[in-house]
Amino acid sequence: MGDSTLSILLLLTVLSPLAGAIVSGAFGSKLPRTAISAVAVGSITLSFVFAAIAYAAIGAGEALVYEGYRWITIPLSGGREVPIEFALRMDALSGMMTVMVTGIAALIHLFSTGYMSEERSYARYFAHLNFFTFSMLILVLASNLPLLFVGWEGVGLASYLLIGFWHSNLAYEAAARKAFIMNRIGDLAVLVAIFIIVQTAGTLDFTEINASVALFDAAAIDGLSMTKATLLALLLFWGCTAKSAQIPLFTWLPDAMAGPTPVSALIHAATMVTSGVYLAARMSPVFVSSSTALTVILLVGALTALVAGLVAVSQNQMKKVLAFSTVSQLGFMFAAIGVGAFSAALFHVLTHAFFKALLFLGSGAVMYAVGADGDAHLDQLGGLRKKLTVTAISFLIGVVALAGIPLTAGFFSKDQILHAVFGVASGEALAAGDRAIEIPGWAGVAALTMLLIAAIATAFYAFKLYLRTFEGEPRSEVEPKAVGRSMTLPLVVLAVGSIAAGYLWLPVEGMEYFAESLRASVLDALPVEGGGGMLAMILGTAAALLGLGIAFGMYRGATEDPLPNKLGKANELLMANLGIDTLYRRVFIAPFGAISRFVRSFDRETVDALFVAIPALVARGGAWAVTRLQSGVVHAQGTLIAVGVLLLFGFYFYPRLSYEVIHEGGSSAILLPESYGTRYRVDLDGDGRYELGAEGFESGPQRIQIANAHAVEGEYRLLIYPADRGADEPIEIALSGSPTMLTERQLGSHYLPKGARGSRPVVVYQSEEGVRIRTNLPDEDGERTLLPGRQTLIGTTRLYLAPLARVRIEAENAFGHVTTETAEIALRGRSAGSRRVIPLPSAGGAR
Amino acid sequence: MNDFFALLPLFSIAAFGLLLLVVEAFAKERLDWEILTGSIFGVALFAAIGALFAPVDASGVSESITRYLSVDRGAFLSDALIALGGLITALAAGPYFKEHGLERVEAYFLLLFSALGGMVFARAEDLVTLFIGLEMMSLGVYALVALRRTSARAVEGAVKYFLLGSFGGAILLFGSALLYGSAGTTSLVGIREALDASDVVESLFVLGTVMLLGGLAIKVAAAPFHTWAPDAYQGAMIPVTGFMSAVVKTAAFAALVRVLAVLYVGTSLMEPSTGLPLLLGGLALLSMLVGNLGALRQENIKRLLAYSGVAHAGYLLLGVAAIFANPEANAAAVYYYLFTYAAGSALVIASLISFGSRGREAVDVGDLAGLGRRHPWLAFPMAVGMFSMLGFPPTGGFFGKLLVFRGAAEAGGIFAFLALAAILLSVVSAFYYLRVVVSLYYREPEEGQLEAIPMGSDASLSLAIGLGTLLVILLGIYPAPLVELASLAARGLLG
Amino acid sequence: MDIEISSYIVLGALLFGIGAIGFLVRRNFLIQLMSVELMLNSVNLLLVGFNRAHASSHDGQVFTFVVIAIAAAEAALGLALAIAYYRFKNSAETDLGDLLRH
Repeated sequence: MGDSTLSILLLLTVLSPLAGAIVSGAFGSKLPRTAISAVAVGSITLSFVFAAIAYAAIGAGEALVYEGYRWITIPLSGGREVPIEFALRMDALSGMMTVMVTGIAALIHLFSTGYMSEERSYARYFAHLNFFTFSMLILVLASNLPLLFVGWEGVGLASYLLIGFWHSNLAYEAAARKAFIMNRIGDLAVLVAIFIIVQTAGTLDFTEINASVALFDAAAIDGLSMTKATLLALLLFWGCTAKSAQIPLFTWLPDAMAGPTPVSALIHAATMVTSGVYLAARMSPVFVSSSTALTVILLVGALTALVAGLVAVSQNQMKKVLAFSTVSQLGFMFAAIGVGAFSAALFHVLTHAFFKALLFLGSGAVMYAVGADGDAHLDQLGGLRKKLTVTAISFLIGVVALAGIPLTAGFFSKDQILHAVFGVASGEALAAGDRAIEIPGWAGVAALTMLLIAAIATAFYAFKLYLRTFEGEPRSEVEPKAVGRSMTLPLVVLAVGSIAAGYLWLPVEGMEYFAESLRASVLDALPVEGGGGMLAMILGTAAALLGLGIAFGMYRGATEDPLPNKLGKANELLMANLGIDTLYRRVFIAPFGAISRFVRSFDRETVDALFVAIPALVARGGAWAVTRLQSGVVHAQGTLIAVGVLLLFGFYFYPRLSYEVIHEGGSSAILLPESYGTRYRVDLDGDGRYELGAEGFESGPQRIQIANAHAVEGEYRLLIYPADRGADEPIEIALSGSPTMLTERQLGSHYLPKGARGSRPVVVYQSEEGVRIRTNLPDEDGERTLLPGRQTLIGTTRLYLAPLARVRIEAENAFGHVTTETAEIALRGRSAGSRRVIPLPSAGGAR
Repeated sequence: MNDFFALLPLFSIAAFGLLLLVVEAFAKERLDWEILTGSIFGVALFAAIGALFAPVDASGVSESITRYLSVDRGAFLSDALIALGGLITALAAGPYFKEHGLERVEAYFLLLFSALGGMVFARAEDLVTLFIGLEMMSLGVYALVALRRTSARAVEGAVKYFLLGSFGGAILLFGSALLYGSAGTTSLVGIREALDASDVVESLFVLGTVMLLGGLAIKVAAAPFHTWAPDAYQGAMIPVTGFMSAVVKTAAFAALVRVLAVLYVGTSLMEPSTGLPLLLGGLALLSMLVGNLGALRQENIKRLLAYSGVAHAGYLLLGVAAIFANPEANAAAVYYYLFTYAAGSALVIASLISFGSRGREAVDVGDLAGLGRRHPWLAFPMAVGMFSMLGFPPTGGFFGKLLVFRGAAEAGGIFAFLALAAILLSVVSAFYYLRVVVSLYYREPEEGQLEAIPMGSDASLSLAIGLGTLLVILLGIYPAPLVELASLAARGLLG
Repeated sequence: MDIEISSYIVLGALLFGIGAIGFLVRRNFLIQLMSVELMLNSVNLLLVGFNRAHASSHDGQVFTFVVIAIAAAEAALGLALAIAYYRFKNSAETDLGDLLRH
């Protein structure tokens, strides 16, 4: 479309919160509270309006681009340059995110005016919150990776500032720092990914990166079978594990609940933590080009969903339950990404934003009402429904949606995810575009199982949260305060959204546009042939109802729990339908609790130890050593300098020999670089006569060909070229007198003929007439002799018997010192020069 | 006229500085020394920037200049860098001296002529001018550190700095003598010509190279040659600490890059698997480790800056080591990094000055407690400076790191590994930079602890802080022009 | 290179080494200062010696004068520092300065 008047809207969308942040940050102390509220809420609402107009204007597959200015130009070698623009881009994907972020942010700002009304640093709070929204919009609307990274870091910073907002408490500050550092660990991976992308594709613009994914199919590192796409996807996912709180970097999120509750709702539930999902969707072509990475993401996501879901069950504080619930739901989203269902993940992002923001704000309203500081303990709540009717009803809607009870938003989006994972588990063939995706079936089954258990847990803790808070008798003497209009209004709006958002996905006339345009903006992996079935939906619903039933079972039994009286026959009916609660308690809930406690302790101690304590210890030791060296005594410090100079001398005292062995054009050669002051002498065959430098040392660069005639008599190396290693270096095996068994790892089991796997396929030994190879394969002919310089095939794996040359290389430097090295080089004679893949033979044997 | 323009930044400092010296002798009342000194640096800065846009035609400059001092864009970029660092520190120094009753007019002359020495050092095309520039700069800074004669710490710091510094100077000089002996000329270009013609005594040349680089490594405070830095930084007055990191370190790096570019780039000494890049990479790794780890334990922010300066020297050396792979881009990256480092450290120092008041500097991390709440306008620039030093986008420091690390990653092999280590270690640096921010915003002074009382507002200090903040942010949100200038300068440097 | 020059180099290196070792093992400020001066003078010797081998220009001798001048400036500053230091410690032993460390 490129309409410049419309594209200005994007800039305005972004700048409006920034303006708000600057006004309340710089002049906040001089403005009255009403003015600050107006500026803060107004700027975000304005931003929402701009975003909504822009979003409405773009059609499916279109994008609105605001061309800013040339931000920086990164020079590459070879005169290439990578220009990076400050440009904003809105397509259906970023459009949905923008509207969602601004919309929910506006509601949360409004809620905050009531919730934070007694706060001393009112202006600072809103300045930070507006700054957060600004950064989040930069992240979402960025048209290239570095600009996204600015937003990525910006939201991290805002999160850090807001977690520690009540800075009188040192624990809060520790939580803030933990969040920041964990996020930095993730950012590291993103930076490395940026480097790789620049190097490979020569661009950082999302559309261009996505258009050039084919470049990433090359091997990431020579000799490694991992492709660049796999490495990239894993690096980016690493970044996501920090920002989106996945295993193993998730422990910061529960601690982040130290911040004010609306902050938890906005940053740590609805928006910032989903930016990992957004990044993955933004770069979906990169992700789908690596089935390996997808499998890892699927398993990590499902495991996170399960672990966090179980942990949430044992929590007794409102915000902690919700925090772990968020981690668990993010796990669902990543599981969806793991099967290439990006649009399903994004749909869950949207619905989750509604109901999780609702739940957080609801718990905020509860905390405000009972005057709880920091977090509300479930043991001190109960029976709040009468006093906080609106809050209770909207909270219940949020709970129902979170649990995934049919016909709510959460149901639809969770169903999409389970459906996609179910497809993989049942062995459906997937393809993204024209690229087949191979995720092992066992991974699908494992993930599906974990997700279903997580879904049960979700429904359980969701209802437990509601029941313990709003039902039963009050367990505390505190008389709840009334919750004002500014706080209930957002709750109601979000509650409506928590139901309605789900219907955006349905193929209803006039509504299908949303889903279609979203699907068009990502590269989903789709079943090759139809696929579908209702089983996933039935399983998901059953899981939700099961969890719900257990929750009711649990809390009906509590002595001071008046649940039966309140619900009367309905409750009994439920219980009768679902079984006997004591049985549940013994068979299911008790182990459930035990597992949950175990997982919880694992989270605390092991993960923190691994990522916080041990590095901290190492750093502390290093720091101690470094500062000890700084004794403050002049001659000791001078000695260090002198030692440094001596080290520099040492660097040049003996020549450093560096050589390269190259195999090309059917022969092997040694490459000696030109290195200042270094001269070489080479004896190829160990006969004491120098092939290079017979008259004296010669300076580099030198290239010396090695012929088979230079090889040592009777010594060989077996080179193994599994077909999938392509042009990479072969595996090299030294042969000795005793038989050597070749392992499947060496041979590349994937390429062995069927029936050969698991047995002991190949034994090699050196006999008098040559090297003998004995195979135990059903369709091969047992034993054969391999002559030097010849090759043979086992399955598609090529074996080559290379003559061995012992080359003596001597280097002399300017001071007359000589370094000697003997290189053992397996010669790849002419016949091994071509590395084409040779098709399966009809029968084995030496050629 | 070409001669005049070629040396205009140096002339303006020398001429106005001498003029100021005369005025000082006859002045009856106190003059605004910081404004006068700042203006001189400003003039030099303008002259340098002007020359960057309208380069001097080197062929029109007389040979008696080009033999000793370079006149390419790289030279003017280093002039601009030094003048910028000098400008901000001079503006911030005045209020500091006044507030703490340390007003000594000679400090300004030392600042001026030391910076002049730095310019000569960074521009040197000859071993003689290299040594003269180095000593001119260093002697001035030794004196600046010792200026507060009544403080035992200042004198101790100065003594250590002086002894270790002159030890380092002697090593560099010995290396220069060997290089001269190996090639028969002191001109860097002449030595390079002899080298290309294989007309040097190899053993002397290698030894000379090692000692010259060792001497330069001492001046840039790379580990293990950094041992003077923590004590000197801590002993010095705050503005002098700032001068050391914003001017001395950047001048030394500019000189290192020039020496490498003129003498070694493109020769077999820069062979990556055996030559100088490996050596520089090793120093880089050691510096990053020592600097980042050492800074973790520091309470005194001046000392913290010294260690963090060692870490930054490590990052920069990584960029310098990668010059072999892509000379123009990586030299440009180093230049850009130097700008962000100079601006960032000058900003931090100016903010630190603003926190202290009569008789009591606020230099411990704990002293900053509560300033974020009580003085948001002073705390914010400090936080910006810290984030830039940390390399947080969108501050200038981020692009400095991005360009340098990317260049190293592109160089491949061991250098890609070093780039990874650099990124990892810059995560470690978040701990100590954040401690300062945390103290500003999340701490309140403990019971019985004195609150830091910032000095009253002062026009030139505000100017220094404002200039620093603006630069650091501008280098982050609109870095393209300076990146291009840096590329032009690198092209000029590499001829 | 004739034999004479290499003996200059050996002598210069010896003097430099003596100076460096003196600097590293002695703790008296003035002696350390003298050691540094010795190091500088060894360079002067080298420079003059090399100039004999490369007699076509006078680079080495010019350099020598520059070094002498700068060494004098350095010594002047060093002595001033020594006096300031002595006032605090009543001694010129440099390892008494332990206010700044770690």
